[in-house]
Amino acid sequence: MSAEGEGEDTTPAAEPEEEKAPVEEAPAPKPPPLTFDQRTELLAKRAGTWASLLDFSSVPRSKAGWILRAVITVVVFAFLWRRVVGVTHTLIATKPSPTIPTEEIEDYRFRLPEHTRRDIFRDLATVEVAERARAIAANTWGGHLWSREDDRGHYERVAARGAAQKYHCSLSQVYLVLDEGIRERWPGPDGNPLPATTPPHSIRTTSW
Amino acid sequence: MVTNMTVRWPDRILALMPLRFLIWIVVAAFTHEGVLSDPWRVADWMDDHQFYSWEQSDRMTLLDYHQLPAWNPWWCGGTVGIAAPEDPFLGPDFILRLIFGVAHGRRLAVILLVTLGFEGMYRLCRRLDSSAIGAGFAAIIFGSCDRFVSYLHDGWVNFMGFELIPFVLYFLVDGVYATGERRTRARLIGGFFVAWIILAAGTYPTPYAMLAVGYVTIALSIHAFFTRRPAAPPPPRKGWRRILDYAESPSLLPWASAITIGVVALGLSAGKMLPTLSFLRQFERVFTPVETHPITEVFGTFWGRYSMVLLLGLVAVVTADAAAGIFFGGAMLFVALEMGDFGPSSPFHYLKSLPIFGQLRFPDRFAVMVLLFSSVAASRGVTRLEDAIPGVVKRAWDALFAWKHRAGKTPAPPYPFAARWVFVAVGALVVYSRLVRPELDALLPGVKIKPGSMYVQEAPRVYAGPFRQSRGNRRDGHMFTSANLGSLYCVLGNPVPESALLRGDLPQEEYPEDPAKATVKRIAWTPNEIRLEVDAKEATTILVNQNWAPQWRSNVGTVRSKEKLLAIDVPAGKQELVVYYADRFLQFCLLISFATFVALAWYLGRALYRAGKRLSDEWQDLPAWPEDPPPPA
Repeated sequence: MSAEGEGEDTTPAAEPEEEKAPVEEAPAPKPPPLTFDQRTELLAKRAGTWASLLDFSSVPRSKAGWILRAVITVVVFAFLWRRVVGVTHTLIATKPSPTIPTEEIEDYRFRLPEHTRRDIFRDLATVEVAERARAIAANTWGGHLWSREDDRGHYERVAARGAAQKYHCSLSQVYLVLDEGIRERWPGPDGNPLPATTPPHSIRTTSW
Repeated sequence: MVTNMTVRWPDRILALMPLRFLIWIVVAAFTHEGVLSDPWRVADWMDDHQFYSWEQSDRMTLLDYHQLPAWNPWWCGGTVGIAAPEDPFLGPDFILRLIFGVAHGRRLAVILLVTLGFEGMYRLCRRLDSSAIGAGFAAIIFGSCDRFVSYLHDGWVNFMGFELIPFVLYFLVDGVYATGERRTRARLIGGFFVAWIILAAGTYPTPYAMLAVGYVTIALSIHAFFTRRPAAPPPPRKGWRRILDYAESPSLLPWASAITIGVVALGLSAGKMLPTLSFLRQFERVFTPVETHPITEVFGTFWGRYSMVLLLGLVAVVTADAAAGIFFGGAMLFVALEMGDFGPSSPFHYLKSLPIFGQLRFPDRFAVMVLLFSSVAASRGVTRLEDAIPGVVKRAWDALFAWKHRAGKTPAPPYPFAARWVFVAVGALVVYSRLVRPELDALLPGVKIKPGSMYVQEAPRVYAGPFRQSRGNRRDGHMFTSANLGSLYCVLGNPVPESALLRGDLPQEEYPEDPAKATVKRIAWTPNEIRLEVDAKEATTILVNQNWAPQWRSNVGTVRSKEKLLAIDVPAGKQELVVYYADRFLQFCLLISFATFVALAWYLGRALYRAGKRLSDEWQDLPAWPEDPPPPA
């Protein structure tokens, strides 16, 4: 709008103003020279005005302020992104353990031969049978079945880790072997298969 | 209290949000180094394995089967999915699990929430006129709270919702003291953060956030009643809108802010909160003992690590700082709650008598809130000390020259403009280098999660077999879900029923009750829908090796419970039987959430568009460079 207004200076209406004789005015009195303190204050205010370009708490009041804000924001974002990528790189770039194939080749299942699987199952079953006998003998949890199962789960967890270490396989493979043994009714140390059921969920009402 | 912000130039540099996030991510990477290392591994405690299993099942349900996880067949022989109190599927941070997988997603969610904790606390303290140094101090103290380390160790990522409470309080305060559209925006976004806490399975963060909002609302209301008067009351509205005039009165503004936040949060989180409340009503906790902690234990535990926080809070309180007084009062309230049910007059006893709060346990968890509130007070204490340095210099200047002026020697010169800048910087530098930095240096190593210390257990490996129930083991639940096996041996915090007929050795998961009467063949299996080819010689029952729930339906015959096992009575003949889980109440609640989300996105999107347009319009009139100030008169 201001540019358009400037372009209209040839219109008749503008001419009289241009032809006006300049009014002779008395020369404006010179402002008194600034004192040292005033000069310092002015300098500080000017510095403050330019430093306001770095005042990120308010909206910039000049185009330069906006551009500087945009540039700084982009630069800081770039640093932020690099930092985020840097700190998460180890986590994200590491490949997971390979999946366990579902195919069975000869007597191999879960990448383990049958004799190893049976050995793993026997180890786990031995621990389970012993724990069940102990629970009955000690009448643990006053006969609360789910709590006993919870204890058995703990011993199974420990035994599964031991088996994984002993047979150089993963914990997932150990649990898959246990599931296979229960499903196929492989005999335990007492000659009986392990139970395929679990006492229904029944949390204790007296402790946790 | 928070209407006139003090101008400190170091604060203005830290007003750049990406710069703060850069600082937060550096701090979080230091304090949570162990969270960002040991990829794929899980924590030692069994709850981490259980929640990993749940999140894995949620992820599989959505990405592999393209369904919402209304039902979780991998746990306990089948139980509710989204409605389970600890299920975080609808939480915004669950997106990280969807993108990066559960193992990484859980860790990245922790880092995200910690950085948001830093940022929220910083903003809250700055809103209460704390300096950047004070606000940063409080942010790091609270965001790296020692309790969070133990929560993460136990696998309770959902407890990291505590990190969002400062944001809720920030928007609550901003919804009181801001003006115009910003006030409305603050309340809406505050509602979003409460909803986030709820949706991300904030079993404890949600009620704690409600308590914090309630306390701050009452405190601000009382404070406003005694101190604030509207500068120029607006012209009264007409008709029913007159109610809005009352809502504008200073002592009611906090209530208006809190109620708006609550309504928005309820709308956004309806899809999680209402089904979960229904679940909790149906299966109430059965073990709710009386728990108490003597004051010596509560104080001793806190003092051992956060003595400086307490002292700095006291500095602010004794210098009559209103914000510090309010937040220190909040800390005292939460100390009383942390002491537990020590008698009929104890706050925790009253809390336990309320419907939802009655199921809360472990009052020692209120220590998180004690730290939150005392950190805010401490930020005011740091600020008081920081402001004291330029304040003392200014007073010394005035005193010196006033004396000289009175002595008739020189006219009193004004306090140099540059000195204000210099001594503000000196104040910030001294407080940072002598107080804040040494305290953080001493404290952070104590709450640091070191690599190899937290995620020490082997990661599960994927086995893509067909879905089957197995006997399982709740202590290694994550192993079974990844192998597409359900774990019958399980635990839940609530007494959810489980059928005794469930088995982990069936040749097929869907089978006829009497094999002589029918044959069953699985056509397709998904968590919420099973398609079977049934050839029945006569009317019979088909059993599914999952728990029954009233939401199970079928296209043929009748669904019923056979000793809590899912059973369908079908007529004779060859047919395709579709058994599906349809929770109408959940669907209705999800619809409310979705509608609220769309409305919120529309409002905030419109506000963003208008702000952008306004700035664009103003661009033409902006000067190219900052304008020079007028010369001093």
